[in-house]
Amino acid sequence: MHSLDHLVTLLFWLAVAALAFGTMRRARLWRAGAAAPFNWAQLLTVPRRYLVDVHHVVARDPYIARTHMLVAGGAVAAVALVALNYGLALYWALLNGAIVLAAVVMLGGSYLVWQRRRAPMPRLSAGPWNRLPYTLAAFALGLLALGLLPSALLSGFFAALIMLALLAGTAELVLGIGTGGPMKHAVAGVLHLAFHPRAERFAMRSTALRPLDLAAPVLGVEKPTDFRWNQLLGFDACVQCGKCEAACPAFAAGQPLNPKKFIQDMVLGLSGGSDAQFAGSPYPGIALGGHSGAPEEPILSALLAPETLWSCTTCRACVEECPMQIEHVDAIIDLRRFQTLARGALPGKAPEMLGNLRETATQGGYDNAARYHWAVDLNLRQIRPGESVDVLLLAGEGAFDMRYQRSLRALVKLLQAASVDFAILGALETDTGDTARRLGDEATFQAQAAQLIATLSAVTFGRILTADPHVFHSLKNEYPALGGHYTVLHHTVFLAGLARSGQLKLGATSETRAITYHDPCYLGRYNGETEAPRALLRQIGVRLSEMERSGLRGRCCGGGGGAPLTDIPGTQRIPDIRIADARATGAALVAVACPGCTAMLEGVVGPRPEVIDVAELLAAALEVQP
Amino acid sequence: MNQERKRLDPRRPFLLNPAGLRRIILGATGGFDASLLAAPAHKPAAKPLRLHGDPAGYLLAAAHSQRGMLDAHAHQAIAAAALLATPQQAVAVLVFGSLNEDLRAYGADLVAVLPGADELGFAPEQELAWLDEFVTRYAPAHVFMPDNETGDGDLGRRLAVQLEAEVATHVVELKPGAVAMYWQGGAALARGPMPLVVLIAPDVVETSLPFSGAGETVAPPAAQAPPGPYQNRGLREIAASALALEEADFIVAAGNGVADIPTLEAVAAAFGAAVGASRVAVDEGKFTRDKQIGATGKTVSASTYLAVGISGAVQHLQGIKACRHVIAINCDASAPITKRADLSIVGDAQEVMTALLAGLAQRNWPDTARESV
Amino acid sequence: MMPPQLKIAALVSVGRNPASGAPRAARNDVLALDAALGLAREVSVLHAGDAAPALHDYLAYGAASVEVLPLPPGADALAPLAGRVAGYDLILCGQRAEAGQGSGMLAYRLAKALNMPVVSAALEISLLGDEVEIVQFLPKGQRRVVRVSLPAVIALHPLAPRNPRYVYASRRAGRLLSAPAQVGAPLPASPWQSEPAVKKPQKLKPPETRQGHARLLGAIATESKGGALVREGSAAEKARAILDYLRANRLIGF
Ligand SMILES: Cc1cc2nc3c(=O)[nH]c(=O)nc-3n(C[C@H](O)[C@H](O)[C@H](O)COP(=O)(O)OP(=O)(O)OC[C@H]3O[C@@H](n4cnc5c(N)ncnc54)[C@H](O)[C@@H]3O)c2cc1C
Ligand code: SF4
Ligand code: SF4
Repeated sequence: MHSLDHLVTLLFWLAVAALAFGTMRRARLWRAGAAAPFNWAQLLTVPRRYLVDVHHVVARDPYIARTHMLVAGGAVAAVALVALNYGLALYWALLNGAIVLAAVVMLGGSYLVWQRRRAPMPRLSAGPWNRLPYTLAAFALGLLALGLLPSALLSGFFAALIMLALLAGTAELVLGIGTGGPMKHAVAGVLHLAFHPRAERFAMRSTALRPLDLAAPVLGVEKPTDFRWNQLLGFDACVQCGKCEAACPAFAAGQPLNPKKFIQDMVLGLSGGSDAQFAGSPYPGIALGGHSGAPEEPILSALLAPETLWSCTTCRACVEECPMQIEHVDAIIDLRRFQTLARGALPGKAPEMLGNLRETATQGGYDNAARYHWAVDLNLRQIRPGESVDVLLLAGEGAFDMRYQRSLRALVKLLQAASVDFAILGALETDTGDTARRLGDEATFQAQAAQLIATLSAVTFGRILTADPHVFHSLKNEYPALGGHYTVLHHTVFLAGLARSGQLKLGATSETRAITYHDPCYLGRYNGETEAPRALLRQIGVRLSEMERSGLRGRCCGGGGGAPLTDIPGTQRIPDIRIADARATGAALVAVACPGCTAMLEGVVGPRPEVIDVAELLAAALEVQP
Repeated sequence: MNQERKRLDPRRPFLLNPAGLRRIILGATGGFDASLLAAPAHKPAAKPLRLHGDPAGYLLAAAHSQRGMLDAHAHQAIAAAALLATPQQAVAVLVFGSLNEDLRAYGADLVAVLPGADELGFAPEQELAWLDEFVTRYAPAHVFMPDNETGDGDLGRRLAVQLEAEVATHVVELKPGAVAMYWQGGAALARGPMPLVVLIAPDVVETSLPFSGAGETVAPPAAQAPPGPYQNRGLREIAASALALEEADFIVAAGNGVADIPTLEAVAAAFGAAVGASRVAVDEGKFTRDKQIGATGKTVSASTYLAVGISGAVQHLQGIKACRHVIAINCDASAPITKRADLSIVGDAQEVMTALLAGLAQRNWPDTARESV
Repeated sequence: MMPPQLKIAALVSVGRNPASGAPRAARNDVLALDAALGLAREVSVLHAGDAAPALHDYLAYGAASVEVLPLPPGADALAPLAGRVAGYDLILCGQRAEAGQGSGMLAYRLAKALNMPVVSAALEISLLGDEVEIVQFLPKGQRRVVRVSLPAVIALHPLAPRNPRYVYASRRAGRLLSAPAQVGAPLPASPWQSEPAVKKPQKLKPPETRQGHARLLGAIATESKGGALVREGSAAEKARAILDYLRANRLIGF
């Protein structure tokens, strides 16, 4: 036996010790967070979650998918083999051959990492991440040499060189977790997948916010340790790939938000330190170095500027893109909850809107009795407590907007043409409280929800129909946790069903202009419903020119999350960017399916494509006019 | 008459009266008639006196003057007294501050002037002593004062408390022996008998009267209050342009159709108006964000809102719901703002603004406007 | 120099949302409360009337508690309030209530009952020893600075530049406290009859003397009020149309 082999064995066990020690050290930081359920058996879910859910996201970028497969796959295989051969001091030549193979794979992957980092895209972080190709290659080369060259033949110098390379590579791999280096993601990522704070997402599209206990001592998150421990763990899983940054509409509009930096700031919060070392894009307009955090320090404003917090539209584009399955929006809402409920510190018109909700059950402070004024001449049946109907139509806040009333009237025309048995709540309809919830005002949300649930429980209906994706999402996904269980349909889904069954007879559209469709975040990303509106448009003969960002990866109009109320300045407006997306397809008409999107996109001045709700296009294509 | 009305086509040619109101004259062919606007004022013929013989009882009106003039609201308080007085009741007026105008047109029979009040600043006890003396002198059935924020609303309330008298404030409707005012923040209208102290809301009384007051000057009260707990520490003035928009009574607002900001600011300065902007103008960096008016900006309640080059998107209109008079300058007659505006000028913003500046510099056009119809 | 332990009270009423009529913290009273909290850590927040749920809003706006002075129906709030705040240094309230009569008389009546000076239309308030300095609102951007000796009653102007925050956590933490029942002097039977405000109030006018045709023209003109559109004419004429409109409506003083 040769001393080099023993050295490697020693190194291996040292590395295992360092990894264990580092992990425990880091785990102490996570465990400072608030309680969350814990079960070791969750670790068994990791392979499936990795291979299915992570891969599903990573595969959108085939280059990095391949790269990661090679590097990580090679490294895991190599380390496993080293554990066997050296860890258990077997020192079999055959296993060395296998190690060589794994190392070659890993080396190839390292080369690809190097390639990508030669001219990195702006969303990638520099700094320590730039040394990865070298340290990974050093590890692979060290293993390669170890396996290829019989150690007996090695001169002392060569042996030292090999050890040095292995040492460098091993240090990168095992010290990351303890010191917060790039390879932290491997350990944290695996544990994050196992103990994910939103485990439902691995079973189905899960986007509902979790209810806040309004009697809790701390309302939301003030300091990093107010996050649940598995949220803290989740932040640590971030690989700084910047996919979220590239998807974020607020970042694109030059508002002071970058979801990647946000996650890294939360990491700073849990581990302590200043953001001066951050090696990626800063928040637009906010220089690096001015913020720092610590686990027991308030996050606002030492670590995070309020403008950053209030720029988010809650569009979930970041979450959709994140390969590490990190939940940015949940964290943002947790922070907002504290700012709103414990500080009352909301910018812009948000406090006024919340006051309106509390006092009038409308966002705009309207007289609730005027909600259906647009329908006085339509002879709609207004349901009264005790009565029953098949379809209950909820108009939402769009009912007060003269523009959106046109869309609603079109929808009513379609329902009447299809002889749907439907009714409205009329003046009994109150706001769902959805926007309050996005602004962190859980108290107002829960009060609004209780009111609406009480109203709904006084009438009997089969389904709720709404043209507002926010109402849809709220009722369908968030009311159940508060005791409201309904079948809720967005109008595009409902109409698509009617059209399929032939109950709604649609002809061909007379529209000859090029048309594109804008996916509302709360219909598409939040509910996965991207097909129904497209099917309807196809049915009336529209050939859609799709925008580059569409479907589940559509770009937000800027209207979500109360962002139009907090109105944080940027260098551009989000809807301007979205209209530019539409223009790039050559479309003269943007089909929409949300009152918010309609208002935001119509707020773009100058010549622009016309904005029309799907219902309006359909109503114009009705075969049998009622 | 009904039939005649039905035939009226709202789009038919019309005359624009001096009030800027569209006036469709039956049988006339119209269009914009600038000559009508320029119609010279004709001197009203001397009006008959309202009061005959010696008065048997009094109604009182009191108000503060500014630079020797009473404002329209104060005129309305006097006119209220004159319109409600019986033929035997005289209207006695107490003016806090100097007076350089003739109050007979508003029905004042006896006028007492306290020029010394000009220098007083905030001196509620002294003013109350004077008013109290005046009230004692005439023992009026009612005292009318404008319910304003320039001193009369305050003084009127002090008077009511001092006399332990019934009072009606923010009175919006006056009838012989009865008043009405809003309760519940405007949701209810409460009617009741006319109390001693009547503080009237603005614009609830017509001031062009078919009669005239006697306008006799009487001695002002001379009471002296002992030094009290109030001390004046002076006035501060905020330049109109720096005035918070919520407070401004006249706003000139710029939209995307305004290229030349200095001209717009000059127009605003000439009117003593605050400057506001649409979101687009703010986004372009022409104005700071605190100038933005609308759903995501300021909600304003100026009496006069001059919207220059603003299309009138709903989000913008939401901010000006409370504005009484909206005037629009827009080159597009179909812009939504024209539906909201009381007067819409279709034309190029730059040209009209320049002409406005020229007009404002002259200021000596015939005073057609004071003639009400 | 701040005198130790000034006793400050904020008087609050139940307001009313103008669109829905829903009871709420009256905006103007919230400003008074906020101003009081800006002057002292401890403020007695008082309400004469029922322990209405809407009073919890004041807790959200920062009142540690709201002390409710129960009133028999129809009783005048003045006596119980005056009795409760006797001995206080500073009493703040909103200038005009949102619900009820909203006459803006309370501050004056209270000051008279307590024999204190009263200043209304206060925008800013600062304590200077045994005096208080008030920046008073006057229209058209004018401000007046007034000092009064303590004790005093001060009514806040609705435009007071304050930024009260609605905080759920403090609403949750605060309490309504009920004082023992008060025996307020009964109000004299009200001569007022209130009705929903649907009709516009009528302007007081001299009796109509115009004859048939003139009246008809006047009627038509009022019906087509607003929306006048001036397309034709030179820029100068258009400018004149604006100036004449402004003068006709007395919107400019020249
Ligand atoms: C959620 C949301 C909130 C919003 N909040 C606000 C808000 O608070 N405030 C606000 O203002 N907007 C707001 N907007 C934007 C609003 O929808 C409009 O886009 C904006 O008000 C348009 O501004 P504008 O009228 O200046 O510009 P434009 O719509 O471009 O109109 C310019 C007008 O000027 C006229 N014009 C052009 N040239 C001339 C000329 N030479 N002479 C005379 N006239 C000319 C044109 O005919 C046109 O009518 C909001 C939008 C959204 C979606
Ligand atoms: S939810 Fe949307 S706006 Fe918010 S950080 Fe993520 S991508 Fe940006
Ligand atoms: S949060 Fe997710 S998407 Fe964003 S940088 Fe980190 S790993 Fe990438």
